[in-house]
Amino acid sequence: MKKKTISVRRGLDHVFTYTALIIMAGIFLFPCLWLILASFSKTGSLYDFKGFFPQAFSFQTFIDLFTDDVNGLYPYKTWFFNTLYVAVCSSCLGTVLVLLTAYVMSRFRFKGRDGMKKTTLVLGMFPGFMGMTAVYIIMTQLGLINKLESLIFFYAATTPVNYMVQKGYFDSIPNTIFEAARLDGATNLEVFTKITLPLSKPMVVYTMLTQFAWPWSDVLLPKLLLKDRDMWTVAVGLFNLPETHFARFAAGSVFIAIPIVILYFCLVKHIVNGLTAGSVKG
Amino acid sequence: MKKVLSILIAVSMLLVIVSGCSGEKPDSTAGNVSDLYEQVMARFDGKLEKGAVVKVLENDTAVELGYVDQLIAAFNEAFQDKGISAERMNIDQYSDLATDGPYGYGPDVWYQANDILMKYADNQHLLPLPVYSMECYEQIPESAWNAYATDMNGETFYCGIPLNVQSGMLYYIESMLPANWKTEWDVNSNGKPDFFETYTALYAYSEACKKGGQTTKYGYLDETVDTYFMSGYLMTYGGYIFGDNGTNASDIGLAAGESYKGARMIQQWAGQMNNTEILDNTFSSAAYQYLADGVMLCTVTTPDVSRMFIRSMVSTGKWTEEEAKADLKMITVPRLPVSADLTADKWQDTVMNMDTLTVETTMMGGINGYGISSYTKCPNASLAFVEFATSYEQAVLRNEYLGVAPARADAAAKIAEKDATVGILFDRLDRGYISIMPAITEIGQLWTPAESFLIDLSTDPYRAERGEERMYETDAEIQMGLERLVTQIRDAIETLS
Amino acid sequence: MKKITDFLRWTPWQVKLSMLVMGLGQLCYGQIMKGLFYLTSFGVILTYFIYRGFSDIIGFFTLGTREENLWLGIPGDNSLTMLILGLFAIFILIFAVVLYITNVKDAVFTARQLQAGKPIRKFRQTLQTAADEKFHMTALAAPVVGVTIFSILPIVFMILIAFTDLGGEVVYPKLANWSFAAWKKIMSLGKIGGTFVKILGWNILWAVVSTALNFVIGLGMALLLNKRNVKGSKFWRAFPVLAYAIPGFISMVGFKFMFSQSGPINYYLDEAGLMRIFFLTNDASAKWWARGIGLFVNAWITTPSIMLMTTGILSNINTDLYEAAALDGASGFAQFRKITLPFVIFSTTPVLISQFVGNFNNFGIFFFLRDGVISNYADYFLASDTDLLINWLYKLSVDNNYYSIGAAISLIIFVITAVLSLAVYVRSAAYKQEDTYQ
Repeated sequence: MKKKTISVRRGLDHVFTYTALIIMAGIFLFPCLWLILASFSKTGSLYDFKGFFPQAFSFQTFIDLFTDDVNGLYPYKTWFFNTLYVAVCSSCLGTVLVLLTAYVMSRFRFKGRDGMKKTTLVLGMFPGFMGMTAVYIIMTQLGLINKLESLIFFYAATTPVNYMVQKGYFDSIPNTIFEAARLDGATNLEVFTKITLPLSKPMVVYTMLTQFAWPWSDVLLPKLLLKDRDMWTVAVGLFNLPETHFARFAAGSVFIAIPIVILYFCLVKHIVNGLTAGSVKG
Repeated sequence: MKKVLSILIAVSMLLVIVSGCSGEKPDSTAGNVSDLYEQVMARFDGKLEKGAVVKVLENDTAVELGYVDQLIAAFNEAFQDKGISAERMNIDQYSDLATDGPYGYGPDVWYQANDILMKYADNQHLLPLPVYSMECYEQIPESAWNAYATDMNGETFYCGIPLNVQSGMLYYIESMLPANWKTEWDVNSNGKPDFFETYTALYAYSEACKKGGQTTKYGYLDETVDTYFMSGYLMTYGGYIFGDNGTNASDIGLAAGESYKGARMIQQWAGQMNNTEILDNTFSSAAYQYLADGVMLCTVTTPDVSRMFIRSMVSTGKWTEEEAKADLKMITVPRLPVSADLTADKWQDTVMNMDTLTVETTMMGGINGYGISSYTKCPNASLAFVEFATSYEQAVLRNEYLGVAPARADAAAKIAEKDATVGILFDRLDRGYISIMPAITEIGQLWTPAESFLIDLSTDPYRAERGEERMYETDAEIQMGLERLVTQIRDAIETLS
Repeated sequence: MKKITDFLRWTPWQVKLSMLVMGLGQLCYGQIMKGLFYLTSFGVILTYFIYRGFSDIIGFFTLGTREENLWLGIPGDNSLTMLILGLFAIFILIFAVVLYITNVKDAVFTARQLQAGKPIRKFRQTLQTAADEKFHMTALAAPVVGVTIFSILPIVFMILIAFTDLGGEVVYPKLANWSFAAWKKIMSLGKIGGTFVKILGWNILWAVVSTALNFVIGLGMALLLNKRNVKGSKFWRAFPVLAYAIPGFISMVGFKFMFSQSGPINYYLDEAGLMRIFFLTNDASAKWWARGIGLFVNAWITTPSIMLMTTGILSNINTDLYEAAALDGASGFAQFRKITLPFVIFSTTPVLISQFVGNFNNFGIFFFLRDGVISNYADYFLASDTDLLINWLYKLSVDNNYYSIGAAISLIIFVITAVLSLAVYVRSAAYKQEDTYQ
């Protein structure tokens, strides 16, 4: 009798759990699926759809995306490589800067540390684009307008402000490891490069990945700094597509989402580790 | 204090300039040309800058359809031996000259609608042009020039060269007309479908479509929330945007005259269409596909997008490019009823007695044209390009590529020989039925408040169905709504300045 | 006073040289590399100030004296550029002073070393110190310079803009002045003040609700995936990760189309014979729909990362606790309430705070969902009823060029968020225990 109620409860639990899982999967999958379907629309216009679905399918949009830039108006291939360049460079440079900052803030006690900590906390709270005018003028003075390097410098240079997650990770590494290394005569630089970094692989991966993903979705700043369409990033280009080119938008989105999604899937373990460690300690 | 000082300095400098240059009188064909004019035009000395490359920012549609490449190639060939050339600047067509120009990143020559260009004239980001000495001066009607007029020390300058006229046109696909239109919908037997002659008849036809059995699901469908197209209803009954021919921003006339009558009809249309898609500003893009798909028989939009309709028609697979071009028609908008009620008269009467029962519809319009940036390094080469691009040949070619209506009388006449519909716009402009968008900065504060009001007005017919209280049931309520709109625009202009 | 004269009497001539010209003293001590470094810096800074710096600083105070006339070709000043370059010059001045002090300190250090009979430091030693004892300074040099130029300078610039009359009519080539006009306009509680209060209320509600919602859903998903009877949790987890990986603006634009008047959802409503709903349209009835959709879209984008984070945290909970609780007869829910929740909340306070600040200033959601909507029917001034303060700021300062008012409002926003989150943060357990190593 008792066994039966338990198995009934367990059965109900199963039903409930899997219903919830399926609903969750549906909510997250459906919009993505919709975009993928849209990218295969034949006419390309959003308004030709029957509800969620295009009336006729074709692979043409993907071919057009790369072969037909409509007299230079939508050079997707160029945008893609521009973004890749910015993403890779700013990811490498930014990761170095933020890791250095986080490491120092985690391991060293020095005059002005507390002030720096509070300053960075405060800096993170300013509405970012209010400074955009200033960034624009600074870039004109540096001669970097319409150059991808302007974005790289900006993204990389402003990342150290958000060092908290990385610092949390370094905090979680037992201090004894560092002390042992110092006793063996390693300098602080060596401790950082030879001990801390190898121990922090999940954090490095996580940092690089978030840095890498950012240029793919930032619209406002690149729009201001990059003038020529040939210089645009994917996000700016896609954002400026008129609605009549919805299939192009969808195809372009699907195409950039693929590499990022693959990266995330491969590295999901590192992301979990990085996020967790970063959050446990502020 | 600083401001006063700087004005004093500027005035005294002007005095010096004026007194210094008073010796020579300019030899001009266009009558009175002042010394200030001479001074401002000094940089257009006619000496083409050797090796200059004119950066041209054009309209996306014109680029997409290949006109711009043709234009630039033709210019480069024509000016090869003079050592100047042009290249297309591949930046956003709504570039911000005030942000880019001072740092040297903007275009030399910019094609845009007059309201966008003239936004930059106030702060002198656009150069005044020596229009009197230009070949196109005589060919372009004064109302078109006025779209680019601006004032400096009481003297009028023109900061752009009008190229084509933009205003609402009625689009339809001929093969979608009801088969029986000649017997049922041509009571005045003038060979034109009656429902394209008066709005009362169009309303009746749209009602018939609603009942079913017609070629399309809707008769007339349009974005009733678009200020550009809908302000015509207000203007036909005495409304206007800014006073003194659109130069006095302190006189906002949207509630003037009997404009509420026009607003009442917008509301009637919204109720008739009974489709909330028209309340979204994305409808204008949806319209291309909907016309081709036979969702509606006709809609009103500007002539420069005709290629978008053709492209949508071709994409359905039912037309070839050539067939689509022949099948898509663009005509002048129907006349509005004197009664200001789309259901008050019998539609047959309005068609039979057009002169007494209906009035010509005034539409808002714009003049697209070229401006030259004040930051250009090669004003003379830029001017040469603008002259080339606004020439008779190019105006005709632009029409061929894009279907736009030229502002030049000779080009309009030439095209009207083949295609009477393009001449209509020029004619309407000439007769004053196109009210040109004001060319002052304050126009920027018109669009969103007006759109909000139109959405409010257009959703009103649905409120009853949704169990909400109607807001614009009586004329007095509509009038109050219009007055509130005027206050909002005034606030936006004055609160912050 | 006496101290200074004592100090001057004591110092050897090399130090005095260094006080006069940076790096000279070091050179005379035979520290060639270091001396050259200081000397070059001195030269560069001096040249900069002679050619630009001084006039830039003057420009900072005047904000321009000659108005440009582009038509007559009369050159003039650009207030905006002068403000920034002046600010930059002031930063350089501060840097120069700091560099000068380190230079003198360094010379004094060497002098003391000599007095004590110790050898003068070689350049290699200096490099070694930089890599070891002073590693923190070396490592922070590049980040600090970058952050100063691209983060602090723009923010200080923005704060200063709030105290000028820039914007509206006063844009280049017209000259700006220092002024409190923007503050007077906000304080006068007219149109702007009224709109501000209305938006602020919604903004706080939004930040609280969306942070709570995201946290609850994220935690819920993590718990769901963590359940013992879930098979293939990696497979199920892939769906939220998919949403996490797609660039945010694509999701937002996609959702905008999905909920538009001609979009698929309204299409199905229409097919089903129902009224189309004004989800995001510029209409009074869309207010709560659009706000709800905003919350939903934000949750769709954000919850996966919260889910991943809490998954990790959950795996850190000591399982003994649960076993003990189960022995004591605690129900599943009681275990959750007594063990899981406190642990998760404790661990994630800093993240919750940054989430709150992020949501408070969440620009993207309503920028992408309701681009260009202004709700005039409800007496909002250049804003829509779904706009957060930051969206309003954008419309004021970027779309309508009202720089100074925008800057003043963002300063107010900043004070609110900073005070709120600093207060919470400083009280949080995570902050207090910060200095205890594991």
